[in-house]
Amino acid sequence: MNGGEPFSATRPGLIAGRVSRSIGFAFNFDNPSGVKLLGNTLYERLQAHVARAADRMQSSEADRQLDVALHNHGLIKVGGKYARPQEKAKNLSLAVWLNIVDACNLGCFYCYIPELRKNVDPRQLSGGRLAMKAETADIVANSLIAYCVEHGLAQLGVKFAGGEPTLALGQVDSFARLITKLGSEAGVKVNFGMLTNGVFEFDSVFPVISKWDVAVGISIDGAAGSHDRIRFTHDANGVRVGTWDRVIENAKRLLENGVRPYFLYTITPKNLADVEEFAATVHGMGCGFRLSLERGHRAIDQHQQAVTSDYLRNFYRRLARSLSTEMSFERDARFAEWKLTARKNIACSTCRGYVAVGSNGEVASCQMALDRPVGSLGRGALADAIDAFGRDQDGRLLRQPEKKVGGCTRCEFRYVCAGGCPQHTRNVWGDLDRPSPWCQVYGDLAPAYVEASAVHLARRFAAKRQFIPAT
Amino acid sequence: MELEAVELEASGVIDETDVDGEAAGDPNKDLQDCQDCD
Repeated sequence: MNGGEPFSATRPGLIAGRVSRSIGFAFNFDNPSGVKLLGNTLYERLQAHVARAADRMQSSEADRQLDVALHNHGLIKVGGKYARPQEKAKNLSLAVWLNIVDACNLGCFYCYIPELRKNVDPRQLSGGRLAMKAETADIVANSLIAYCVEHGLAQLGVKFAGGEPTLALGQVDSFARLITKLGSEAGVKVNFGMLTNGVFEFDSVFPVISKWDVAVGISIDGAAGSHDRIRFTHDANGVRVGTWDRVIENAKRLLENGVRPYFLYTITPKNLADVEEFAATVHGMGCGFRLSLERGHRAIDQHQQAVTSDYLRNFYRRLARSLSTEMSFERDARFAEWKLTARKNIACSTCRGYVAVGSNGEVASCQMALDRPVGSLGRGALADAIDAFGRDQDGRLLRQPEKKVGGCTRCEFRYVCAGGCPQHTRNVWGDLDRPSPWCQVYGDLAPAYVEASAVHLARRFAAKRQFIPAT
Repeated sequence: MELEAVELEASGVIDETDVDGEAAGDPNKDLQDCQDCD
């Protein structure tokens, strides 16, 4: 992969198959609107369309009814057009990654957060020296609420991150209090999330999580063995201490206290083989996760991509038949930024509904670009910074991804992988209008992932149908 | 196998909203390290 060619230049189209003798499935890569299970008659009608025989067939009234159903579900065009998707409510929210502290108690080798102080001993983080200062917090909170008011945004999502946000609990608590008050006065609903590595003192952290109803995401790096090789602290004698047991213990205590954490697993060559064990552990706790691929600065060789996609295809195929029917395949075993119910031109909403704010008030397109801020809330309004995104070619494409012209625009799977993380692509190729450095994995995995999602959906449907006889 | 026992109306269509309700979207959306594009 030279960074410019599409994975598959085949025109996006339907993928269809059977999950049982009486149920087919279909998914339209040209118009993603979710995986569909189809009864036999409808499935056969769709196959006739795939074979392009439908137009030459005598169409009865019954066939026309079938075509209406296929059209309404986004699977076929009628009159050259897909059915218009249901009118979506205008996006009236802003999401902000808030780097509340530039320090972390761990030191993961692949961490993409720039200018981060790693392996900080919480006991030596004197007075939150690396955390956001009170006067900066005041400016940031006021700027965010002012932006929401000026732009008619009714909701603001603040994700406390860093670094490790639990190293700055006092700052988290005071920021949440301030912006909740400002939001309340301005008619803006503020909700909170926190991205933590799960290595914290539960009794100190939980009261803040509970008080502000903070949704908790826990980043993790494998199952016990591989996680501990990457994520460790040191004891008083300088001996490495793995963090897996502590993370799982904290997750269990969150669950006991009514908070369901969501796990984020970054796949690297060192932990790829542990995805299945990790999934069993996390799903066994009743929690979901998202898998993402390491985002470095170098191209990924074909062998590593082939090994990764081979593992993931088999993993998802097995998971489809083992994941509890109480859980959602796409939500609780998510891959990257994929969302099969949406036609995406770009993987994320950076520069549109999403920005990152650093601990000094600097504004960047996302957390991976905090070393290249476009403005500062200390020197201007958030609107000025967001306007600045549109001043260079990459920023314009992030804001208007439908104007991309690179290899992805000719790819069969373009609306599902959506080119992958644009910041990662830019870091590797120097240009975000190119296929992802992980393009081979995305292309190899997409059809298998869709089929696995269909199998799990059928199992969920079966579990829901009470009259299904036991076998 | 349970799937072979499932009956789906011959002209029927099922998707995630049928088994998950309108909440089929991603409630964990704001927990991810990147904000989805929708």
